[in-house]
Amino acid sequence: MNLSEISEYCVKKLNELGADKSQVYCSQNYFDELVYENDKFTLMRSVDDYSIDIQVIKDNKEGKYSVNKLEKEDIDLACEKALATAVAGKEDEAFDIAPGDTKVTKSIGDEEANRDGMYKMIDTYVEEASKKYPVIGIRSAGCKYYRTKTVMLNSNGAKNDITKSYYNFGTLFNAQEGKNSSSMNYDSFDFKTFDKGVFEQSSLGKSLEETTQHLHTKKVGHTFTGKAILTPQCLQGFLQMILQHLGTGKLLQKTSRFQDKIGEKVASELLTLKSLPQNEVFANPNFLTSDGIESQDLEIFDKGVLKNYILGLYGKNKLGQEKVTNFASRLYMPAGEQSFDEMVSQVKEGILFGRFSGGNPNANGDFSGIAKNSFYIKDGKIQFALSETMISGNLFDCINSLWGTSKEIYNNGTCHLPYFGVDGVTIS
Amino acid sequence: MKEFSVNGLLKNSQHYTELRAQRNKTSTIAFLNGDLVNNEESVSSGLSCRTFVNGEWGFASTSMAKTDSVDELIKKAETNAMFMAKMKKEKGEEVSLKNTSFNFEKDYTGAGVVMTQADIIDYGKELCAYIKEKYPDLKSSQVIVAFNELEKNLTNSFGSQAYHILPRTVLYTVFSYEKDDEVVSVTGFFGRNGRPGDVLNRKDEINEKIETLYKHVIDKANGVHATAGVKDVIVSPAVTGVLAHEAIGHPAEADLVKAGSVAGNYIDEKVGTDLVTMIDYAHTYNGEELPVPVYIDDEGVEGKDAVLIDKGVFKGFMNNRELAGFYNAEETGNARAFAYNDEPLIRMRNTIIEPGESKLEDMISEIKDGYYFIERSNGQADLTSEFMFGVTMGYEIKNGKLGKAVKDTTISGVAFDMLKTVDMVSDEFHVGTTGFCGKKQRMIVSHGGPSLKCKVHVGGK
Repeated sequence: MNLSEISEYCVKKLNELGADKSQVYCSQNYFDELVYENDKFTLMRSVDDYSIDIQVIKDNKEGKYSVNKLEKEDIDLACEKALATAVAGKEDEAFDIAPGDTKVTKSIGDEEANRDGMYKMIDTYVEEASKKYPVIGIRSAGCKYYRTKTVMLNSNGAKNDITKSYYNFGTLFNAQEGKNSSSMNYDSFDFKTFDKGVFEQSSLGKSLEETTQHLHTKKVGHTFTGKAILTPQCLQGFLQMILQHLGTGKLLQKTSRFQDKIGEKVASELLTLKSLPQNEVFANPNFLTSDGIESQDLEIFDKGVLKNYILGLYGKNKLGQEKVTNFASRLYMPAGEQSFDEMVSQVKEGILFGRFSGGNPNANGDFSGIAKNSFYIKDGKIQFALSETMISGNLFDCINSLWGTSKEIYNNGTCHLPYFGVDGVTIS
Repeated sequence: MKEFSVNGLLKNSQHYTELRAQRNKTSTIAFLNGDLVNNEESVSSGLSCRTFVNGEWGFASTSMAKTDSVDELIKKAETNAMFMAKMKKEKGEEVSLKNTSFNFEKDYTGAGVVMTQADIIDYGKELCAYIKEKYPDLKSSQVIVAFNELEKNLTNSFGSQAYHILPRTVLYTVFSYEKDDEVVSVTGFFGRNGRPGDVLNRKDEINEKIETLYKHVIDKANGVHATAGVKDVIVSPAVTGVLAHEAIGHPAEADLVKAGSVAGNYIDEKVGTDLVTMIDYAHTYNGEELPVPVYIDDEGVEGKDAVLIDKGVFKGFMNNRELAGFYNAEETGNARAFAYNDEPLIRMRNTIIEPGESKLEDMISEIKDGYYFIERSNGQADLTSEFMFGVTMGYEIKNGKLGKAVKDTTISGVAFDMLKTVDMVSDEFHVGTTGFCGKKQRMIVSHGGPSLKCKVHVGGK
């Protein structure tokens, strides 16, 4: 049986077994991975895997079961187990599956891995990096080719057929001179073709340059409260922490700082953030939500006003909301009006905040941790790379104090973000 | 996987080759305020082959493994290795692997009551009802039962053979409490090796944990913010464990040493006070089996204890077959893979700082103005040994006595500097059975030890 036939078989079988509703994903997942570590290529890895993911609703009780075998006896057993799991569950009218009018068919990407292209990309990157940034040590570099074919069917009549392939490049590096070593830094991006080299389609050149400067670091030496310019990589992590407050978990617990705030101004007018899951600006689009519904563009914040929560089917039903909006993938923040250099020139005292290494913020959004890969800014100029420096503040104060976003954009194939200037963080 | 024996299937391989059949089972149930919000089970199994051809590794795996398709899988792995060899520009000295072998078989599934998914859900419902009745003032509560089981069947060209199955069950409880419009949360962990029926029946221990968790959330709601700066602190065994794992353990993994970790500079150098001894135990401590018993690793190497720090002196690394040869060291058996389609990486097992002789109350009495940090959230560390951990539960120490609870904060420092400030080590010994590490792949790990009195940088509001 092919993937489509297996999905059909499962939905039929579950119906015969007495399921009220069922939804089945049947996928073939393949990837090739080429790994370079410590001055040599170390591994070529090929993984071929199948999966069947079954969701069953019976008497308003839900169960899920996954298996990675396609033999008929394995499929039959998986259907029985999924139903048994549902029967064992707890009744909740909020459980549901995708509506029957969901029909998505897409096919993108290379059918086979371009292994020579993968090798050449890593080889050229390592060679160019060693020439341009002689103190940089490339600790690892990897290129992966992913191909997934998924057929999703459900008892409402929904049918999605998605074939997607893409590449990912990731690297870990530091600067080293004798026993003197910088912190590790890393970056990765998704891409479709090998038309461009690593430095042409990523901001790795800037990252390697900044890491070079981190061979010689200093402490600020005093505590102050001032401005921070978050790099796009740092902003990506912060946005995930903020967006947790728009999700089902915190809204159901009533611990969200955005509870009942739809339509209200909750941040600076400079904050506009969207989720554009299928937009061509991203090398790796997302066609479906986790509920199997076609993903749609979503306004999250528009000029500081909260526009939507991020809810799946369960959250939407449980909270009595009108529409499914999940999920906040492929975040898109438009470019600002100032260049990065102009933003730096406006900082009397602050930091260029490279990465955040810290605990999860508390329920009120208070965070504290280490500012990694960061620089001290004084009188409008970057002064020096920072050694172990604590930073603390509040997530929601940060988005309210936003004073600028950059023209320069970072796009790693899954997000499109600028530099992001905030005020009121404490550096010690 | 015991039914899928890999023994004798390598006869057609011309090179050093490993064959591993593996099955991972998971089950998760999650309740939020009494509603069952997650109820799922999964089984993932397959066969992987890793081979070493002319100094290059090739790996291939399939979920559709059958005995008659093994030769095809081996050939695919060899093709991958040969691709690497073909592209290699410089023909350097080839690494040779030590020809050692070991055999091991053990089944850790207990003989306790079998709990079906329905039984686990019923257990969760009862626990939620108990919490709701006993602690009605909580703003919200979560109950999560997570079960995973790794079953492996391994053979290699050097003659190693292994079969083992290790289940683990963890109960997570999260309590949130609101006071003066501020919500605080704490998370409790109760984990043991074993299937749910072997673990969730420890009702008294679990109820005691839950009672402590409730006390903590109330204390925290009435707590204060920590004051920023370098402070005298006592870190509990839970915090000691994550410090040992993240800040010292990772830099002492041979692949990361080769990648430039600071630990490479410290062999035979003093990195801590005489009170600090740290060992990554393979399976047993003082005659007691530890939570992650690795008698044989996924390269078929016998698991041996790796002494990292002995009385403050840095002594060595954790390695795999290839890097043991590179560093001319004894093999430690640290190479492990989480899923059937993962390649073995150097991973910690039971990473422990040895207990000392001090009493916890004496340690507290020595601090005039500091903190006692009990529970941590996420932690991160750099290969420079710079670390950061979130602290989710702790108390002030004022004039030698515990004071008010402190709200969420962060501790940070450079581990190889911090160890030089350890001036008291408690006689406690606690090792966690709930840890996962995320170095490329997920992996079950365990870490712990005693309480340490030391100096760290504390983040304030």
